[in-house]
Amino acid sequence: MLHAGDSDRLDVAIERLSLPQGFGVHRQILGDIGFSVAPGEVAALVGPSGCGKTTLLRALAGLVPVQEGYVRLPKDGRLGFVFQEPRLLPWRDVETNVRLAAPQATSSELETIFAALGLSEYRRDFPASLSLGLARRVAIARAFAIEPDVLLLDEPFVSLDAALALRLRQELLALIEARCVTSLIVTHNLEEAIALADRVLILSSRPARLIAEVPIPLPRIERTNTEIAFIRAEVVSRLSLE
Amino acid sequence: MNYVLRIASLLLLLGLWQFGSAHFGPRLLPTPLSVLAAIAEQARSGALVLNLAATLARVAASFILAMSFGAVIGVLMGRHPSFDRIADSWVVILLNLPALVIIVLAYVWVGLNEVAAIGAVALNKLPNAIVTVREGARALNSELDEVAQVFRMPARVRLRHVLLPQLAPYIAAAARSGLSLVWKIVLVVELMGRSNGVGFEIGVAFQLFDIRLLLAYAIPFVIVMLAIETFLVQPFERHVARWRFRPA
Repeated sequence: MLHAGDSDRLDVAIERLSLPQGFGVHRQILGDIGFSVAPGEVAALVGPSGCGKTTLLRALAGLVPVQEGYVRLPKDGRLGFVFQEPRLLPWRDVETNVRLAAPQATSSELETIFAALGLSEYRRDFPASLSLGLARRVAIARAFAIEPDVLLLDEPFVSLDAALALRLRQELLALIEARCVTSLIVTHNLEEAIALADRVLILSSRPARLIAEVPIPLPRIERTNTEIAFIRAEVVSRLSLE
Repeated sequence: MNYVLRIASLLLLLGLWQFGSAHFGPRLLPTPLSVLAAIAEQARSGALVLNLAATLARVAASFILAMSFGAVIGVLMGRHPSFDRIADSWVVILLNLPALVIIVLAYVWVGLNEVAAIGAVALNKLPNAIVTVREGARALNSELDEVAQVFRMPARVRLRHVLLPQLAPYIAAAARSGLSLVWKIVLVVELMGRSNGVGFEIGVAFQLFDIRLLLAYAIPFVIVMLAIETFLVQPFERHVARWRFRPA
């Protein structure tokens, strides 16, 4: 079940989520998963490939039903979602794609977001003429433009060059801190997870269960390479125990 | 070069026509010039414009009716399997019912009037529009639906920016094939039960064995329909598909 909760936290308490696999067969994707994300907190979701991380995000967005248990978004929260694929409307230009999702955004707000993501010169281009990296940036711009209270990101920076990915991470953190956005990010990149998140949630293989939570108490700015390596080693050891 | 080839092809057709006229005699096949003179004669008397206008009005009315109902029913059938199962047999019956049967039944049941004429033509075109648009509705991209859902786009935004652009190529295809079907059936309907229009005049020409008059109505009408195809339908198709042709 999907609730628009009465708290300002994002709550997940899933006991079972199954999806139809065709021919009337249902396969369980998610098992015992329970956690909360506080306003302004960034949680990173890691786990083996194909374990159900994307399905968990889709359940939070109300795109798939939870059979037993519930997911709860903050009350009246605006949801921003960056899908794994850019998912732009191919028949609308870049600016219209963003405007349709965020009709309340002013021109100057859009200009700021486009400039931050290096998209200013592509505003009138159609998605078919963009590279995958550019299209991903448009999808990120779309999610930013709605000024979300909750942001769900499904491997948003994959296939971007390292410098751009770093800049986008900084943009993302600035947005999260400025608007106190509750964020859940799925990533395979552990360094990225540790650099961005306040907490790393580790899922098992399918059907996914929450097997560990690794808190990262240090403020992001104080995370040195040594500490990141230490946390990474801990996450890897938890993952390999699975 | 393209234009030269087109003009050369047209001149060849005229040459063959002239040759055929000499071969079969002007009674069976009048010369291009005498048909041109007949067109001018009909145009001067005002009959040509009146009859063309009457036929075009019937084409427009039945086309709009068939496309509107066809698009709505097609989308419903494509999106809702249970409705598809209910309505599919009806569509198959309509698809296979000869145009002539629908026209005769319409005139018998409704009377020899415009409602019967336009209704019969629209009903002939309707299943064709339904089937084409239904394919479009079945091929809708569910990922884009999810985007609309997640970003809480209002229904009218979804219709205009998510649904219709996906259906546009199918609607354009239905419009194109529909237009050619509709104007052919309109002539039959006019021949059988109306007292004006190109079909009625062709019927008169047939009874009088006046091939010159027959061609004097048929040719301007074909030219008008070609102009509609070239200047309305094709540009519309190009417009709805313009995003496809951007260089990658």
